[in-house]
Amino acid sequence: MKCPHCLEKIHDSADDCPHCGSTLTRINALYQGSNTNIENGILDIAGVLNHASRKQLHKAIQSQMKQFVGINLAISLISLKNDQTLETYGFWLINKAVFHHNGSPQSGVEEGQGRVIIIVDVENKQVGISYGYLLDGCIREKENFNILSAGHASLLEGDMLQGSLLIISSLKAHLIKAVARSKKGHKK
Amino acid sequence: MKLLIHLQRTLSYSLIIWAGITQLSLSQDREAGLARTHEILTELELPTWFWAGAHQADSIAHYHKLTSDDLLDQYFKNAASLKAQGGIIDPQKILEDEQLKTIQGLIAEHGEKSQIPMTVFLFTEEHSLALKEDQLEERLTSFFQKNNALVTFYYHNEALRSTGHLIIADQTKDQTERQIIKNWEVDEMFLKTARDASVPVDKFSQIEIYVTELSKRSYWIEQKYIASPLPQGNLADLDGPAPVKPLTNLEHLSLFIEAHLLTIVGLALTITAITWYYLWAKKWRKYVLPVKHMPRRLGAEFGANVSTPLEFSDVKLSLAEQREKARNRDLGDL
Repeated sequence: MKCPHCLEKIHDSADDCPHCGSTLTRINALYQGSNTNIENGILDIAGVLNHASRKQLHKAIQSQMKQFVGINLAISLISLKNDQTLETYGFWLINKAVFHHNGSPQSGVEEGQGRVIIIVDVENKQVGISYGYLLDGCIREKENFNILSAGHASLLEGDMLQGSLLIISSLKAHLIKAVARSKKGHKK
Repeated sequence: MKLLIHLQRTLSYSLIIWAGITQLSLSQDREAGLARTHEILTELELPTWFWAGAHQADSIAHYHKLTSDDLLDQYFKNAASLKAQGGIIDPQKILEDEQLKTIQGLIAEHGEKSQIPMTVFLFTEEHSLALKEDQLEERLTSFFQKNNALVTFYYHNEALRSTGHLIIADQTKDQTERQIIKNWEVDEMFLKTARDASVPVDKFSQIEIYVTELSKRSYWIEQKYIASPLPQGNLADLDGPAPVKPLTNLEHLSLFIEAHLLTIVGLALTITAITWYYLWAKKWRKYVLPVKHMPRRLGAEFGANVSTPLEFSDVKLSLAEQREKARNRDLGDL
């Protein structure tokens, strides 16, 4: 595993990063006051999606993810400031966000550990994915690259909606593979 | 007087020899034909007089009368009435009614199975057909203008003397004209039929055996010369059948589909059902990840794994380069 701040390798059960000393508490300070309410799987702090796009994205998230039990997918579009990185924001958001579905907040450890959040930094033009513990290690680094590459062309053109839709679709395909792999590993 | 009789006989012998040669259809290659004929005759073990050489003509002419034009006209009088006569032309009333019906029945039976109806010109054993090749061809082709025909000139109780001709549509002329097939296979068919009929069999007359054998032997000839699988020129169609075109590939296909419609529909439905079920099952399948008990990392309750970001800032850079760019950026301080 890597530290979300310094990106150095750390132990799977490290309480803090031995390289930079990062913890969730310290990273929390970076995003103090940021919006944590993810409504119907979308957190558009950057404000790049109109109503129709939000609706379309929500529909895609619902239809693509309904087959996966215990997985909550969300997408966050944000403009990160200095000292804020996509990794730290993803790490922070996956732990601090409150998922709302049709107005009612979701809660519980199982709900939290099944989270997957796609983060699009529209300011710095970066995209990444943050995973809860349920999917920890299920998706390989190369697969992550493939998932993000699926929407890369559209994101380059500035089409955030299409880019996000393609990434969600690719994520679904890789999640199916990951489930099969996990079951195989679990049986062994 | 004796000299006159001698001259008359010589003339008759010559005419008979000529008729024999022409009727065996040797016009294409006479030398090869003669050689082949001798081969066949040797194989068949027929009496040598059957193939009438000049020196055998005495016995033929001595015993047989040449058919007169008047008599021949009676045979070739009315093609339209052939159907009514049941395929056997017997103006001399040689056969008794019962036997005539039997032969007509055999010919009709042949006509049901074959595309080349059989016609028997029945002569008494006293007669001998005296016609030149071109005269015979003219009479036959004009008589069988509209139909294929398996024609035999049969001498009652003397099957070995019978001769025959195969007349079928000229394939090169859009099936409108008939031609006499001059082929050794055809000659062999008639010769072997004559041989078989000459062997007496209990209860069956010679002509019955002849007609039956000819019908059987004509099957392979018919397979060779009649290309179309549909019947044409049967006895039932003697009044002028329309030529039947061979089926096209499309028509074959439609016939196949018609014949196997139920199987095709069943197969299509099964494939559709299986495909639909597969897609349906795939759509509604639930994927469950096995729950793992991961140790908490960096004090995080829900998760601490973030992928390497991918940049989308520069259209000129490759995907890998954009990933490296994101990886090597300045991370800042906490």
